[in-house]
Amino acid sequence: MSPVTASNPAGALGRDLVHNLFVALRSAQLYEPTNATLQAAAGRLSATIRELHLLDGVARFEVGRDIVLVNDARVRSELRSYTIHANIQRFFAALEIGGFEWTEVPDDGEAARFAGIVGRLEGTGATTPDRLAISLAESGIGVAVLPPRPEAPRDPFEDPNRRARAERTYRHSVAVTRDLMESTRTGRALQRFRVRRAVQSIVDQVLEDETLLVGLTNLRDYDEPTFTHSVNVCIFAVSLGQKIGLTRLELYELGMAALLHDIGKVDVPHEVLNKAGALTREEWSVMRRHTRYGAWRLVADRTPGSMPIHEMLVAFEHHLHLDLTGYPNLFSDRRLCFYSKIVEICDSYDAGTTPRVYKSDPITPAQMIEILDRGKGVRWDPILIKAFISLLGLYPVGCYCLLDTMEKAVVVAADPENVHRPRVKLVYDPSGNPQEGPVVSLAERDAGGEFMRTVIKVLDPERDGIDVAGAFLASAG
Amino acid sequence: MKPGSETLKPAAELVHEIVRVFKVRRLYAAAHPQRVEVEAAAAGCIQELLAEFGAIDLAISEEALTHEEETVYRHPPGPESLAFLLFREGLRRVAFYPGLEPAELATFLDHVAATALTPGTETDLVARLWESNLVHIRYAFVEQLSDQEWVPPAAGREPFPEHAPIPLRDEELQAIEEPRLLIEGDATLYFLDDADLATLQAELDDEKSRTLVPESLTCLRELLMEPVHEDAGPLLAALAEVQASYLEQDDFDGVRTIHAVFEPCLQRSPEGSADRAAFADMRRSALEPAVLARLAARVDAGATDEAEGAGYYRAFGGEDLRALLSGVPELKKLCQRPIFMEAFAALAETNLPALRAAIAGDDPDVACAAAYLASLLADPCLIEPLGAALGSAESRVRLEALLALKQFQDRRTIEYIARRIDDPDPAVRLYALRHLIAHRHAAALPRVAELVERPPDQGRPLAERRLVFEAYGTLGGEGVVRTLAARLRLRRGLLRKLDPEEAACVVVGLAATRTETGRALVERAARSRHPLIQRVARQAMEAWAERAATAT
Repeated sequence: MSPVTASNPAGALGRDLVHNLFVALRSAQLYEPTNATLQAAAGRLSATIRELHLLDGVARFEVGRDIVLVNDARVRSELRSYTIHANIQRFFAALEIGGFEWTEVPDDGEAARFAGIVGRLEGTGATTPDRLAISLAESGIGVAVLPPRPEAPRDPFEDPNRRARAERTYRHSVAVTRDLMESTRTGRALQRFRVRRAVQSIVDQVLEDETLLVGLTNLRDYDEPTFTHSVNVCIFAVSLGQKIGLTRLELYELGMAALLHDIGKVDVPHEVLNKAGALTREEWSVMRRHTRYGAWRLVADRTPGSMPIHEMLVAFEHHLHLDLTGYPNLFSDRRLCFYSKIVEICDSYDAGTTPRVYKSDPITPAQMIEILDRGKGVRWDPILIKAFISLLGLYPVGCYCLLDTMEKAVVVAADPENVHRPRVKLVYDPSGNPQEGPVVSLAERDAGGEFMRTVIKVLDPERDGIDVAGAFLASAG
Repeated sequence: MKPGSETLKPAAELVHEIVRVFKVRRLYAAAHPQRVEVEAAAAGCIQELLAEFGAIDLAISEEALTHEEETVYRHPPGPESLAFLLFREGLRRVAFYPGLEPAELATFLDHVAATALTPGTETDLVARLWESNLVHIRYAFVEQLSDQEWVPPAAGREPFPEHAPIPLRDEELQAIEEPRLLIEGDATLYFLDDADLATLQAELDDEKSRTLVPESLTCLRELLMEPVHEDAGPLLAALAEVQASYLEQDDFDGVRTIHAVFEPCLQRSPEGSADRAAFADMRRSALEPAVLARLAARVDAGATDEAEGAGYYRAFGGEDLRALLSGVPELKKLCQRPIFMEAFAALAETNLPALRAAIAGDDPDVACAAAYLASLLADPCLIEPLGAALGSAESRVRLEALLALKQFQDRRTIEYIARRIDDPDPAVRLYALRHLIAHRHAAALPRVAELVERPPDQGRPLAERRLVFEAYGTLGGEGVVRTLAARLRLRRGLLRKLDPEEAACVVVGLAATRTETGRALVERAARSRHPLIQRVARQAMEAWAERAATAT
């Protein structure tokens, strides 16, 4: 049997099968069997299976924890298919089956019946792979149910404690950033290789599971705001970059630029940088110069023969808005670098939500999301803002919320499918009693189909003595 | 071997194979049959080992590789030790996984070899391995392992403080009535539709196709326009690198743009400052002979637009005309194209002092090119240096200067030219004589007469001798007819006949006098029995007839 990667059209068939299968299953969940949308989706699924049969003599769809295969060939997750891959992996994991193999080409009606049987299984927990195989066979559909893919072989590098690993990556990155900025402040040249390794670790971590690192951005360290801010911006930028489909190496470039975006602050006098009160006009003027300082330093400390283009541009442009307002003042119009647009959003979000000594009333993550939404198209790239909101959710990790059940909870994970219904950890019961409650999804519905919990207000965690980072870590542990 | 350690032997075998490949790679080039054979065999062997025993990991120390605390490789620290090379680069563990492709192993060893050759560079082994993303080779480096000692302080954290219940505050109770922060159902807030995805993809594709060099340059310009540091050296050094890369890519317009954009930034730098010196260096490198030769070759081949080439010369030739003229090969050929002739003429016109200096300078190539440009301008201020160039030891310089002087409508030039009728170079002499003939410059007659009086020089061609007589006749007219007639009768030596070549020259001279006496003598010579004299005389008579017909 020749795998479908043998040629490009075959590779496209693999992507089509994943897409059409997902749409058919989803349609079957939403519509009656006679619905035209479901029929059309089933028709497309049937057609794709037929083409695969013509090419390889079989149509086999397999799904594992991090992989989707069609006729033994890996179907890569792309920008357009990112959500579909995530959902289909979750769907099959919940059903505890490894995939399907169509030994015969189903006609449109059979494909619709198949989608109806399989699609409506989600969340019911009412079947097993064997029982599913029997019901499909009884319906006259020639499809075999594949068992779950076997676990990967022993991995000497496997670290079962994902949370600890993520936290190590985070803290190590902060330490590296601190060393970098402090040594640079004392006049030493930029030591890039340690920064490079830290960013590579962040990229690896984000590619594996960005939620842990994004959650860790709540680990605010009041003593090291500049360093944690740089790392946070790096994490947000790399996560956003992953969401919009940047490659691994591009994520690395973006991460380096993001981590070094505030390097110019080492040239801002300490008393201005860490002033407790509001800055005077002159002090603001000095502070705003950090974009120019940063770009200058990155050029000055580069390895001869290599120009850190992205790093320099991001350091220079990360306070310039889409309409070129902001700072530094420009002598001529310019087209912003794509990475600068990403970093500006992440920088604004983290700076806005980070409590500072001079901020009496920090903006909550949810308020910041609203600010970003209002500024899209003028200050920020509208599509990147959408992707950013999709990444963090309307209630980002770390949000401390009041629910309509009068419970209070900390958001611990976004739900890409329901950006307004994240997963939360309950920390106060309706009577106001502190509790280490369970992690629940706000997308859960009761028997009547109503949402069981809904956010009604975002609160200040400090008023209730809640350490949101701790809540997040407790949920991740 | 530890009891139960099933993978120790395969680990030792795996290391043995890797070391074997490592050694053979140092001995033979990539395509050498022995190296190819060893690499293929090792890759096959390693694949089998991994397939049978699963992943194999190795701990790395300065002089050994160990598996499950048993040494499987030992070598004293040094450039030949695989363990040392890995250790020095910060690697502390490496694991090979089933499915390892031969190409992955080759890449791994390539990186080890590359970092062994250039230790201490910014792109170290860890960075290279990460960038290669080898799926079946994983590694841990020193920072990762030292971080693992850190334990998350979960115990010390108190996310859920134990205290008395906190009743809901009034504003919290009211919140249930308040409008929501954002409309939850509005998917347009976050949902990337097809149009968004298409726009995003187009932007990503566009971004990937951008070099960002123009953006970097504008950034550097912004930094130079409003400096935050006194020292602009690093910025100018970066600029010089960009210029070098442009030159490498033969992007001559790019180089020109850099200078056009950045020169205004230096206005606040004082004369003689380091910044100006750095910029002058960039200009010099833009005018290096190799660059100019490449530009000329590309223009000649049609690979570079003529306007781009001419613009480049105009941009850089102005300040250092000498360097430009030194580097441009075959200026005359280039200037056969009007756009280049205009460009160079304009450059010369605006840099007359530099042009004068170049004409009179030591470099014969430069002097020739400058003399050629002088011929395009014919500016009187250039006569003197061109006259001086006629005294050059290089005959090509004298010739080019003479040719240039010929273009001037100035009486002073004829004197300079007249002096060259006795030039050591026959080409110079011929041009000078012809010029005198054409301009009937009578003042030069004594010099020409002196040549006529000289006995024929065996080294000089007959054509030149005839030209001397033609000049003599032309400049002398009626006044020299008698002298020439006397020479026609002259016998050289006792009882010898008239030298026919000498006679032919005299006939040419007589014809050039354009006098009736001279004409009569020529007609008589046409009846000579000597074919050479006869032919020359007849040619002269035909020329007369033609002139007469033309005049009629």
